[in-house]
Amino acid sequence: MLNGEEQLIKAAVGGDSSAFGSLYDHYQAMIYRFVVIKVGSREEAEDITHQVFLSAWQKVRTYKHRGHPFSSWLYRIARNQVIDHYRAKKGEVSIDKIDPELFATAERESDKLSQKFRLEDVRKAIMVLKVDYQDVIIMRFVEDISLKETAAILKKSEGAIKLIQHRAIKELKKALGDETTNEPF
Amino acid sequence: MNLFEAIQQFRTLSPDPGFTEKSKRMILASPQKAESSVGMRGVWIFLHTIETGAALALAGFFVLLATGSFSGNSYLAPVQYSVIDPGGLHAEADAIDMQIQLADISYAEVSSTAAESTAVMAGAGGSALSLVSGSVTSKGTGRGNDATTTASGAASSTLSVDQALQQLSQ
Repeated sequence: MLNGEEQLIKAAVGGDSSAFGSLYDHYQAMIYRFVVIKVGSREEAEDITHQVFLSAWQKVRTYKHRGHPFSSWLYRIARNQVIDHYRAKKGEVSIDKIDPELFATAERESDKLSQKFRLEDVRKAIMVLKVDYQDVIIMRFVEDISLKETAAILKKSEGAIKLIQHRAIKELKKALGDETTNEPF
Repeated sequence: MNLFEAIQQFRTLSPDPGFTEKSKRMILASPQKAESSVGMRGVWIFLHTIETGAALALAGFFVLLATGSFSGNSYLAPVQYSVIDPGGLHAEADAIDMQIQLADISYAEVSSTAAESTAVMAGAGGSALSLVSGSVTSKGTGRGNDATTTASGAASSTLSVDQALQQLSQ
């Protein structure tokens, strides 16, 4: 959570563009990652991320703070945008249609990367999971979002998120043929 | 590196800085949507009131139907029940002939002592039994309905059932 987030949100709700700009700077990369893992294309991920923040800016006056971080609201908008994206491109979208360089760059940046898991293979394995499973994997393990916040974003109980996480990992390991990794938390 | 470390490598993905700057500028330059006016809110409240009222009315109607307080048959039934006349149905049922006939009746073997009497069976059910005296020629096994009897002359007297049975036993 961003320091002084509540004040920034109040200012943004009041129409303060610089306050919303600060929120954008803080959360944009996180939303972009969420989207790019799901759509697998840099251009489409940028378009969707732009739409998410444009929609958030236009609707921010209706935002009601309920104790959850601002990111919960942004994630919900992003989820809906991704769903709309897939609905609009029904029949055209394939998990194989991705930027070849997108995940290779991330792999090159990682010193620890072994040949065991290629990021693109991991992404493909994530994409064959159910949508809720995908969301939980990305939020919990890519973004390190707490159980409580993940539950708030997905509008489920913490117990349900734990269960989804357990099943998602089990299916992901099965898809990748990994029998050795234990669930971290 | 295990699976979770591999997943965490996605954190290195980041948007292009040029896109970020351009997108932010465009978003903040766009106008925010105005809050809904009082008039629009009034219309919204009115529509929701109608929706709620219709839902309650429908629920009440179904409750009445479920409890049997209201029968929609007279309005909704495709078959008009008035064409079915209960009195006519009763009369038709009463008119059906329900007579049961005893078609096959076997009699005990008649002894030869009853040779002088002739049994005339009127009707298969034996509702009227009369014995006619006179010369009788009995053939066959003596079973009543298998026997061929010939009566000579007109019937001279009519016996009651008890008398006929008594004669047969002799």
